[in-house]
Amino acid sequence: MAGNSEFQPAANQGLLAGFGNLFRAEMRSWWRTRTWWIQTLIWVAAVDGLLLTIISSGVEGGLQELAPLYGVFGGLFTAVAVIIIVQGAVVGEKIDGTAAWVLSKPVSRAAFLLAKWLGNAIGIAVTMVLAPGLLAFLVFTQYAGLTVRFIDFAAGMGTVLLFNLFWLSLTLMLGAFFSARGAVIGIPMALLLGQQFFAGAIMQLSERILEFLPYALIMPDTVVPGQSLASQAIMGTPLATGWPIIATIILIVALTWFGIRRFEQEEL
Amino acid sequence: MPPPEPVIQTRGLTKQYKEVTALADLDLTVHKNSIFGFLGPNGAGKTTTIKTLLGLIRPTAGSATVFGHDILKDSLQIRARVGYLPQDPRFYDYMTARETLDFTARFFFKGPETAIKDRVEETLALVGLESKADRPIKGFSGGERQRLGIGQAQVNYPDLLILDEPAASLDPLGRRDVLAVMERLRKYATVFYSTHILDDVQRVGDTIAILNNGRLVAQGAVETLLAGSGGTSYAVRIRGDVAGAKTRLDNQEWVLATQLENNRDDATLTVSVSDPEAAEAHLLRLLLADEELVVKDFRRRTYELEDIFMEIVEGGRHGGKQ
Repeated sequence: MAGNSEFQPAANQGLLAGFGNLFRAEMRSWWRTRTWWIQTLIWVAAVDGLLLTIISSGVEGGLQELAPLYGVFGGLFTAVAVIIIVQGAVVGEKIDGTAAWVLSKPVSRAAFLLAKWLGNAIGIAVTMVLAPGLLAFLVFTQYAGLTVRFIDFAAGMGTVLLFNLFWLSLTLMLGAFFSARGAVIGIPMALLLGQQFFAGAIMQLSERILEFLPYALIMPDTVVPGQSLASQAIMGTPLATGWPIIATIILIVALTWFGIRRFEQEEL
Repeated sequence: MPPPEPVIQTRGLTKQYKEVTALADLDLTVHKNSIFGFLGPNGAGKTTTIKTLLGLIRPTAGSATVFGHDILKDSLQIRARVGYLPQDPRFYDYMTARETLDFTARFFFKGPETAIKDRVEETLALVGLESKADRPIKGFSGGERQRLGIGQAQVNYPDLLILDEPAASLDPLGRRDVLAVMERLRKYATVFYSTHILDDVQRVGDTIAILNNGRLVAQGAVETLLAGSGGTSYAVRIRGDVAGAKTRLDNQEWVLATQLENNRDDATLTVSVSDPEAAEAHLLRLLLADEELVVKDFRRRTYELEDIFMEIVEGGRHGGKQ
């Protein structure tokens, strides 16, 4: 480069070229804008507000009833938000031209997608899982007077986070595949909101298949009557099966890998 | 003297989209430290060429190198030495102009911090955005975004600056500034830019290529194209027996063609000649032989790039490469 001898050149070769800079930009989009506090406020109000309302009404009082509700509120509702927030991350940038601009710099396509994954994963983890989750722990222990070990509750939050990371990975992958927002938001939304229907259809084929899908992480009655894996973790009871966790991790890795492979072929 | 080293070289570069040929068999050579104007009407394949060179689009056939690196295998190495301004520059809305330049610079430099910050300040001043440096880009006008685009394209001291319509959406002052930046960079870098503003090419460009329907129809030094543009012609504004004057000129051996255009109270006669010396010696005399004829203006008509461009694009006599 001309006239830049005083600069230390960035390491811009290899699979992760440009990752650090892109990751910082993703973090900035979460933490240096209104996004973080708006999301925190929404999910604290939604998840903890609902739990408080239910506890106050006295309908559901025990941990056995409340723990599965945390899984549903903290996992299912936030997953809808994850899909909405992330749907534009790749396809939006493809449409408005910012992806082409960024990728005209020494940036690998894998770095572009992985920075989006990690930046959004941290944003989702803190604002949609950790903040409402910690407050839910206080609601359970201090307001409802239930005995819950923090480590168990943290494991339950981890399960909820894993569920959300699945939807993050799926939505990002679809963003790499499609050039219109409709498919990127429509497909995961249909899979998420139609899961009762899909779960029923799948159970017609084989009940064991459900063990390999993320639904079992937060939806009660999927693999354990009345409970989900998240609620089992919160209650400190041994998990009925570890397969939904393993399968979801494998699916997250696979979806991200497919997304990267597809994005490498994308013409911008 | 050995020919200057090529910075961009394409051989048979082709891009096909189903039934549409965006780029057909493009052979292009751009030499070091040149200001290379890439011309063509909308849809001619200019942006496709640029995006292919940057690895944003994959060619269907052919090959290309930038700094001797293959565009498919060594794209990261190429992009590490290039600055690029897209046709319609879009940046992250949540960043300010200063943050955008800092973000761009850090793809190329990891330090020192002070040098990066100084470079960002210098670039803000260069493109006239100091007063708007800390405003979110969301509120920027088209012209301001274009200025920022030019700034980010050269923040890394590129060896090759690729500008896709750099003067689009700029006012005359902005255009002048862009041309000044390009001229200043010529010492250090090669500038490859597409444009519709032919006047700008004629002012700063030294080499041009003209694309039409995905095909290269002319390439060469600006002076060469202007010189070989079809002979000399004269424009004469006359009043009186203009038809008689035209007939007299048509009978001269050295006159290739005449064209008469009627104005409100006079006419313009354009005379294309094969022998400029004969024309200069006799043309005016022949006209003034008719005492009733009034010659209001007489000048040698110089070919502008626009004439050549129109001729080529409209399928005139410049059918092949120069």
